[in-house]
Amino acid sequence: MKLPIDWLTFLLSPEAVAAATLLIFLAGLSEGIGTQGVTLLMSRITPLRFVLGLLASAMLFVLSAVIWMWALWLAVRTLFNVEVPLQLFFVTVSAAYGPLLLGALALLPLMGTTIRWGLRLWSFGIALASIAAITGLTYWQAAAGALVGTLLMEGARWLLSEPAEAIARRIWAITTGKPHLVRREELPQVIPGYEPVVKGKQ
Amino acid sequence: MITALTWLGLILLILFLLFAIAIPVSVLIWWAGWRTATPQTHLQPPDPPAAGPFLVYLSGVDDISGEFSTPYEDALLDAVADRVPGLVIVTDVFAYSFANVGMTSEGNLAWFWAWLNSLRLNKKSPLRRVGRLINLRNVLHVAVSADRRYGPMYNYGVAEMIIQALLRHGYVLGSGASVTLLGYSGGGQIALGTSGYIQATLHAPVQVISLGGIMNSSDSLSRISALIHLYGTKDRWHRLSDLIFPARWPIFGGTQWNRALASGKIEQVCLGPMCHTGRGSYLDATRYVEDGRSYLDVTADTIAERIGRLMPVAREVS
Repeated sequence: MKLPIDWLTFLLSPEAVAAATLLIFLAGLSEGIGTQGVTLLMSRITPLRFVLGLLASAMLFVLSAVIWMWALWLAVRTLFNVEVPLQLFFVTVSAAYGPLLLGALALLPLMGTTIRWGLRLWSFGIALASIAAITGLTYWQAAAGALVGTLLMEGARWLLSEPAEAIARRIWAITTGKPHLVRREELPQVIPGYEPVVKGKQ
Repeated sequence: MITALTWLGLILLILFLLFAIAIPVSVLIWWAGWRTATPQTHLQPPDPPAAGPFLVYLSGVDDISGEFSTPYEDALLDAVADRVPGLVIVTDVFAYSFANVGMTSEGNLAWFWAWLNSLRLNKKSPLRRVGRLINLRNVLHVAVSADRRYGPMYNYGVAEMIIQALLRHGYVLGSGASVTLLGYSGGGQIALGTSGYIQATLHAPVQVISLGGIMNSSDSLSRISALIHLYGTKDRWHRLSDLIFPARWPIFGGTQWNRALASGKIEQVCLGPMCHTGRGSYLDATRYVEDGRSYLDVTADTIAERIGRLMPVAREVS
């Protein structure tokens, strides 16, 4: 696809990279509010640590997005011999994170989880369209590239799972002040102060 | 004109989404300890100790506070009380607030809910239907209670309010007196969601009776003695649960709901040709089944009979 020269100049500018990064960060923040926010509050942390936890989760989201797009770019380049500057690829495909700005809607009771999956599908659709637009590939080729890119990233994640988990745990502990997140199964079942008094026990 | 309407629709949608999100967020903030719940103060002294059995009534989604009730609901509860000797009925719990705060005492929005309530009670008001916003607000609370992410915290809060109400009405901790939670419509979900906490805390037999209730599967089902779901053949609302809650779909055999259904812990009882609300509903004393009993009597008989079934179990425990 041929882009107008002004538009191409903008996409290759540092401002465009900054705008794309900001978009991904805000999407990560919204996603974090919709998902991580519930876990953080369930773990009964302080407001300051809640904000820190969300910021950390948004930054990890940006990092994960950058790695994913790099893996995509590598896959598309290797599989289909397409030469696109990485910066241009990053700025264009980052549009896929637009729908995730609505990630906080996952907080909606009952409907939230379905909405989250809907947003992810929408985001994936935009990713395919933007890959196809920037590389000139067909949608099927773009999908194959996305699949291989995702597998690459997952493979790397699997290889590095232990150190990555240790880092994630460390970040969690630093930002939230709790050793681990509270799971639903760990929530109290008995309301203290109302249990029957057992004779012989204080 | 179309643009103005579109904008209005968009604004209303955004307001709805914000309001719908604010409810679970307020539950989470309370749970996290950022804000303390301010339960409604009950100035009257607690009732003398009672042996029970106890019946806690949780109203449908048109309720606005623990004190509000319709004459039809009062008639049903009176009829049940007449049939069960010694029955203590608890009605002062507002199921749609984890702090038992009625909508007309609810901070900055109290005036708004009071205004809506006056609108819906005024049969001549052209804005009467706007009063349905009360139902919408309470439906969102039902959704929070049924949501696996928020339910454990919301239900915990309401369960504590129910236990406090039981104590106010003479429940003696450790007595083993049986507790029946009767939930009408959306109150069915709150009754089921809270019942597990009440049973685990009081160590007493607890059962749930749902009157046309809308309920998701719940971990409470593994703790309580029974869930009795009463329904009428003309009640379309109660069938909604089978559609909107995947945990109730027969293809997921391993869910608490389907296991309880298979083991017989959930009993579904058809009362007759009743509908959900209004004329011809479970509370209608002017329509009759073939044996001559009114719809209200059929409902009261069935509830009283099920409370009676749980009582011998309570005596064994105490």
